[in-house]
Amino acid sequence: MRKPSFAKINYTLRPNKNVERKLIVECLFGLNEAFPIQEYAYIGMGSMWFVDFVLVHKKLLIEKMISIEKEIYAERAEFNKPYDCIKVIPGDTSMVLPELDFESRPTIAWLDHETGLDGPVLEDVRIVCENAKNGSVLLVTVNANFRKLDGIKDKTGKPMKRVDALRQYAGDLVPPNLDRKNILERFPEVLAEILFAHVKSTIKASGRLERFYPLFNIFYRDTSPMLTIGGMIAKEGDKEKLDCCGLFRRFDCATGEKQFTINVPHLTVKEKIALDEMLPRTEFPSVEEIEEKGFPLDKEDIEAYCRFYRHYPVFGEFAF
Amino acid sequence: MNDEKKIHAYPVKDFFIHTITKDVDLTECVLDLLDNSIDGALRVIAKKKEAKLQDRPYQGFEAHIVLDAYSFTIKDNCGGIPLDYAIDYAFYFGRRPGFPADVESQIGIYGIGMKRAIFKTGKIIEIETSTEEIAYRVPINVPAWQEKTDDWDFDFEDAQKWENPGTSIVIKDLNKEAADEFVLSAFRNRLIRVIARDYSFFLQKGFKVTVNDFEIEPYEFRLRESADFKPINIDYVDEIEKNVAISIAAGMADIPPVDETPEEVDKIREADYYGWFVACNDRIVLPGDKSEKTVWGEGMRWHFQYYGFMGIVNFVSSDPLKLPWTTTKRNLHLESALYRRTVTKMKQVTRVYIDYTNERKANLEKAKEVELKAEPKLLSVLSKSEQIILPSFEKKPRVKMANIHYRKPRDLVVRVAESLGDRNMTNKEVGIQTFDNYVDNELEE
Repeated sequence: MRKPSFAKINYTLRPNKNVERKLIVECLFGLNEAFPIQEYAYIGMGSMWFVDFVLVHKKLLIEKMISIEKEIYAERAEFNKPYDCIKVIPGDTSMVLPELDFESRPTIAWLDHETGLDGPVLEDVRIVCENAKNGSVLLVTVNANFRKLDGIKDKTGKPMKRVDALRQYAGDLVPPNLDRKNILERFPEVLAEILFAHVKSTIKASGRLERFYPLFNIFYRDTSPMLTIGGMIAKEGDKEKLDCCGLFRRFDCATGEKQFTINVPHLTVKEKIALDEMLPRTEFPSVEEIEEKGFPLDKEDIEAYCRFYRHYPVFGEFAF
Repeated sequence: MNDEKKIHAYPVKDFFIHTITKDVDLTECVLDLLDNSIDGALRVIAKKKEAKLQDRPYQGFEAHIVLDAYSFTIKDNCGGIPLDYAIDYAFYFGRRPGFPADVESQIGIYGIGMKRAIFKTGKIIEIETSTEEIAYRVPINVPAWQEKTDDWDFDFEDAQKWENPGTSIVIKDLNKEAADEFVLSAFRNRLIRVIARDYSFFLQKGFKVTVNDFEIEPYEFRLRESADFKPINIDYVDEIEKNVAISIAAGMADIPPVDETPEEVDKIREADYYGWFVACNDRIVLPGDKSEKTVWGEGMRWHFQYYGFMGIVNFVSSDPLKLPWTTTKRNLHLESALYRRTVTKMKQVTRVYIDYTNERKANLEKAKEVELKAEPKLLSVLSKSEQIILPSFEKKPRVKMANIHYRKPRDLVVRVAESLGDRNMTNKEVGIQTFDNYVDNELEE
């Protein structure tokens, strides 16, 4: 039997994903200036590791937490949940989401999928967009590998072009100017465009007065290329409160609809410490400076590290 | 008490600004304005006799549409609106008697489209137009105009002549509904798709349309043709309305769906392109119809089984009032006798196709084989055929069949599909293949 992804990878060990989670939660903490984040509910897909749940509970002080888990793994997830305040609800996301309580409080919903547009993501996004209360935050993670579009056949059994396969899933959400070449080069950006378009048009189509205010468009790659988009569902008045929080000014990863890439280098602990000793700095250390420290490192890696050093994870072995 | 014994029936502006604008959606408004541009091109072409015979009479004519949260612009090089035409006709609410008939096959006839479209879109409008002879500007401030209850006229002022005569309409201070839609990329993408489809014949004849700088390629209507499959493809003149020419093409555009369950057909994105298309003077009035507006209704309701069927009927006349369309140009005048006569023909064709979709089920393997051999062909290269021709099969030995319906978790079905070699295979196919596997492996011959 095929293994689920949580059995293949220890979620905590994906450094880019790890950094992304910390960046986003840090940024959401910034909402505290104007929104009672502590009172929010968190809806996520915690798998067996609940890494995001731990972070959200510790940093945002949220206590109302729901993790949706596939029925066959739910029992194991129940055993692994780190806090009593987490409720594991068994079932497929698209079946569980409509039954959740979006009424009594605003939500931070993180639809942390591993599939691409072929999965349930568009439907799940629709459910959240139609129901989440004013002031809610929606985060959506999907697989951004364009190879997911390969091998899909049309009705006559012929393999479809990637653009056509994409249209099959996302219809009018797909930008019209895509061709064979730029779909490859721009796939993560295109995917983000599609998701933003979907969120906005779903909210509009549901007739509600809120609009979607994009905050995140983050691309990273550990094993697979992944994309996370996010933002707030808010009425105009709350948009002003959101602006007051100054997220775009205070946090690099809050770029609105512009894509932000996380690409942390793999460093040894010794290298990390050597770099940390030089930080923070307004200008990144040069290749020569690092060379003087005693180890060679690409300019790109130096810069990437310096951008994310506060969140860079250190993994170690320990014995129970 | 009123001694005059009159019941008042004056028009009020509010009716034009807020009431009739509810009959159209914003996409249709954009199309109404695009119709204006095409009308302009037609006026120019009508003057140049030689252009009419060409394949691409609209070559060189362009309309550029730009829309965002703040404004809407459409700018064309289609010859401009002659001043006398503007003063006497174009801005009238409704069509005046004596409307010049010199514009052959014109598509905009009721004079209501442009006003309705701009009123629905925004409040501050500037129309500037230049012909070879004259250029002028019509600024319209909708709230100010509405306040002057008895004065219905619009003022115009002189403007600089353009190098390439044409018209531009700029709408600012958008109504909220319009602003909210125009920012959505899904709205713009849909608009592009609708123009590609409903203006396909104009685009194929050389007319160029861009939306926010994206140049729209015409949707290409194709029907499948082979030795076994021949779509009907006829041109004729209506028996009573002698100046209305009708062309009908209909047949199989795509092979019928393998799986007709709602969840499978829901995934078929081309569904918009199945059914009957009705065009008047090349402009598609009713796209992909599956309702009683065309042939579908009592005794012949649209069914998922007919996915893949496409029919296109085009009414052409130099007198557009003879054509079976309504003010919106996006709907048909269903009671028109001309239209009813045509529907009768359309029904006959459709019936033959429907019978085929039933018959093929008894010979599915053979049917699929011949269907796949039929190549999709552009309407322009399709052979003429008086009838729709479809294959008929020898009757298979009569075996009593049983239906099996069952539900399984979707993830599991996908995994079985994957293990059968194609994770995108339909649920029905998964069921058939797993059943066949069981029969092959577990049952003794």
